[in-house]
Amino acid sequence: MAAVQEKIAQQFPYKKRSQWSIAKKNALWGVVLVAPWFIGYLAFSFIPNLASLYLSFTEWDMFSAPSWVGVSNYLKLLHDPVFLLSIKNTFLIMIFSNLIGIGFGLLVAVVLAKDPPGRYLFRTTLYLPSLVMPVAMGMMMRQIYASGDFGLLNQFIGWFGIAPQRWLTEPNMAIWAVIIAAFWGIGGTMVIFLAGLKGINREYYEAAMIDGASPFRKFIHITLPLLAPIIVFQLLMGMIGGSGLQVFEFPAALADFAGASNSMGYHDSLGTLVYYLFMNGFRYFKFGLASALAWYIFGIALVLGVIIYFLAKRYNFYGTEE
Amino acid sequence: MKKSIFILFSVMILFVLVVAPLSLAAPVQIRYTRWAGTEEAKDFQALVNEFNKKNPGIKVVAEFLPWGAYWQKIQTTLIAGNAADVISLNAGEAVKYINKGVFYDLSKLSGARERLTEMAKNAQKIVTYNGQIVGMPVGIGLRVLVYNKAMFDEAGVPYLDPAKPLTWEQFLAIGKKLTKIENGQVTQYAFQADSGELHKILINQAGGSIVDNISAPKKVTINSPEAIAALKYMKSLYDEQVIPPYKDVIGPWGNQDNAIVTGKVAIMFTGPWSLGTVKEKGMKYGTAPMFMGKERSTVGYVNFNAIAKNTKHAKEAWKFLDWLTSKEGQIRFAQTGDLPANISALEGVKNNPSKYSADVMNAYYEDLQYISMGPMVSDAKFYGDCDNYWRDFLDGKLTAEQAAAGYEKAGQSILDEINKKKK
Amino acid sequence: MADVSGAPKRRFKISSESGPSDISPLGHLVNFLLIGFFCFIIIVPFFWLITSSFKDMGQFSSVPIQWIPVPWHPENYLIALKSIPLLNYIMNSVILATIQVVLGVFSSALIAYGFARFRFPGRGFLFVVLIASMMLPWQATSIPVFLFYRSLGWLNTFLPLIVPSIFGMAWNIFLLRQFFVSLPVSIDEAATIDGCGPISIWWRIILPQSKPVLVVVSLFTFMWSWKDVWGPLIYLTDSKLYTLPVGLLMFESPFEVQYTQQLAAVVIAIIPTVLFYVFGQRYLDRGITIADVK
Repeated sequence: MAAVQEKIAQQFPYKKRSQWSIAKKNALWGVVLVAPWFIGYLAFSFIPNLASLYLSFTEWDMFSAPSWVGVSNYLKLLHDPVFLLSIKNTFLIMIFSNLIGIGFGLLVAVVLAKDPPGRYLFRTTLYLPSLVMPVAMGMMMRQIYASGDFGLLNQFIGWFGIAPQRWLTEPNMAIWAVIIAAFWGIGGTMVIFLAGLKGINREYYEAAMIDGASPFRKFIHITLPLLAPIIVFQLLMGMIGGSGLQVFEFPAALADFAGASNSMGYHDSLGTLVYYLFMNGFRYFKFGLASALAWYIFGIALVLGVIIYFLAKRYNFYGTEE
Repeated sequence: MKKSIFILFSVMILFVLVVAPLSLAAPVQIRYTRWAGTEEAKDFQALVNEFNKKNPGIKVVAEFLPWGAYWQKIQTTLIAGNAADVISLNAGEAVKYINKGVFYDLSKLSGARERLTEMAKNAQKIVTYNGQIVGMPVGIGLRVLVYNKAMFDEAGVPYLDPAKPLTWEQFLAIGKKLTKIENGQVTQYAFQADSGELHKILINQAGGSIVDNISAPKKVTINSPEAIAALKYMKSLYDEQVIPPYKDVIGPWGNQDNAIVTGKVAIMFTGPWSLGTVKEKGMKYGTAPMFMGKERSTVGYVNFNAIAKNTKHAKEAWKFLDWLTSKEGQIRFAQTGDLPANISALEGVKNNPSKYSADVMNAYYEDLQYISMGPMVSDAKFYGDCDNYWRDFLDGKLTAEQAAAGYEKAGQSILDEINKKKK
Repeated sequence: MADVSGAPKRRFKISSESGPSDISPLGHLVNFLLIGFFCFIIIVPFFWLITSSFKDMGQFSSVPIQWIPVPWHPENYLIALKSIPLLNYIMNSVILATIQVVLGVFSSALIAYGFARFRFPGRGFLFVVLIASMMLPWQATSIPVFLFYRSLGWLNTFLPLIVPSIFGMAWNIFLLRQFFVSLPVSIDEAATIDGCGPISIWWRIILPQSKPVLVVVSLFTFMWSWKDVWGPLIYLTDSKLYTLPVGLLMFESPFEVQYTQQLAAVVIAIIPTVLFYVFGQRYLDRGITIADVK
């Protein structure tokens, strides 16, 4: 921005705008533009967050008054095997779902960005699962994971000679049922990558073609670096969002299908962090414990965010600011 | 300017004069909520309309939501204190809130105590908490055996007696005959029931119990020879392939409410709510009371209505509830599919059967006095943790004795925690 | 001022292709097989969904799966349409989603512009707060938030669902900011020299260059609104205000028997979004072609 200010100062000397006043005006505009978000944040997020922080130090059944218990909720969780299992499951889902979602999402986006014939059809098909209601998705998932030859997934793996599995009711299978579902979500990441690819200036590729670079080299040396801000965005949102650290609805739906909604699936095998938060808060009436869990999740998300940020910065993968 | 102010004032005064008396005479509005699918919602709306017509001073506004969504909403509104005036509850879900002091004590209202004595015994127990009446039972849903006659003919099994229940041994014997196996694959099962409900019934039938007192449990009592015998009988039903594997929760044989409609199961365990579909299919079916062990027992769902503690219209709300649970109201209520909770209405219901139950009611009346419920524990973790033990037993990972002991230990620790808090 | 918008576009054209077609026939085949495989695993459950909505319960539970039901049962659709006011729910959902998209996208774009293009004290910190605001699971704050809206008297209105979007949506702001940052500053600078104010630069230069991402953000906002069950369920009590996801739940019953009719309702509910998407993606392509004027 400094360059502009200098230029302006040169062009309009008679206005005698000092550096300071332009910077001040600039800052004022920034504050004015960002203020609405900040006001909304204070009203709709910050105050409820404070309430949640307070509650995490209490025992509260949501009906009688909360009673202060100090850090005992936080300590209790550390000795809770279900909490530890939930962390393990959440990390498994977070890593594999995002590998599938970002890896394959990027792959199909790169192919479709070349505008092959039939791209509308392919794009719509791939995005289809993201377009339907949770109810509809649930009904399909119910059939996909059904037992024996009745289940679509069992039929599919049958082609490769794999015996039918009990996806929802065998404790060691259930978490993979959640991860496999990430294949149905690649349309969401694909759409964002497509928009990013469309924004890359074609001249880069033309230059590379003159150099005789292979498609793979072009991908590594042009597409990937230029797409880096989008990849970082997807990675960060994928890790801390509903397909990562905050995964909840889908495992909960699967536990419901399995007829085990009083626990998180058989032997809590579908337990994830937010799911366990939900169960503690709304099924076991331990809202204090649930709030402490929420702040553990927040802490993990913060650490992950910082790691991603610094990795991105180190490899210069982050959107430069000026 | 002055003139316009004058006109404004006179209009306001006129408005107050005309509208105020109108609003005074307007009927008191009370909100009534209930879970209902699309068809049920129409039935219940008709019921509410009937009351509104008879009571011009009160206007009941009904809000319906489907089962799962309903309980989510009930939870939020009870916590926030803006629940409806009259709330429909099911014993299994209500248990979370009974000890939370969110329901109006009906014993303060005239006629409520007397009315409660007219209700089925088990239903009375459920709504009485610490000497308070937290709700009034309105209906009882229960399950009996519903079977496909064609499959019985094919297997050469005589039809079931609509009045006399089979014994465990008899049921296992006909079960083996009704299961069809082709090339090592089961193509037809004899029976479908929910494993979670089945284990509770079988324990009751064996003369055992899961807890000492279903509505206010203090001790887990499952570690008894009776309960262990029940678990063993349950395992034999699965091992002999009378019932589909309990882990095949989503399979081609459907669930206990639609199994015979799939054409792959001979007997299902269901209530009047499923019979409409069976009839629609033109299937020849019969009903029979639930089979028995040492004792008779079947699943019963007690539904009751509570009045919100912070209602502004307790009197009007009670008037609605009073009508709904009266003999007259109960005969009308039974048209919606449940059996009446008020025993005095039973004769009337028999003479005026609902569209769901006209030809099968005998089995239901037969079993009505044998309903039992699982333990009512406010913390759902009780069920979640304990269920693992009988499942592990069915899987062969634990013996029946180990499962009962483990169940007792896990359950007791949760009961102790709850009871400690109450003190 | 008016002539600013034309000039920069020529300098910074946005390509509709990310690379020239220099792929061998074999490469084409591999690409097709790859995309075809993903499309296949996605389309099969949908095919099952649609054909199953024409089945009766016997056909529904037959093994092996009956992919084409004979005879078929189109009456499922009539029953589904008769039993719930589906059109009413669709209307409510469309109204709500439209309002949320318009408010949520424009306010977010303005806020993101503030984050991307202006230096002010505390900007970095606020941006971290913005991202951190997505890190605490909303389930943990749902009860305080509900009490807050109740104290405002907003229950049983669309307000709790609409008003927060006026203040921008964190996910949208983050994505838009990432895009705005990657746009060349030199165009803004040129416009500033020509005397354009910040709002006018946002409207005439930033937004036109960001059409693809604006479409993406609109699409995502629309889908969030369209699929949200919790909000409408908790805040609305009048069934006339119910949105489609809540309406579709009406078929659920603890003793579910008529699966195939619910499937029919679900298929009807899918149609508007698929149409919306097909329309949206055409716009996505056209938007870029327009920006590419030479």
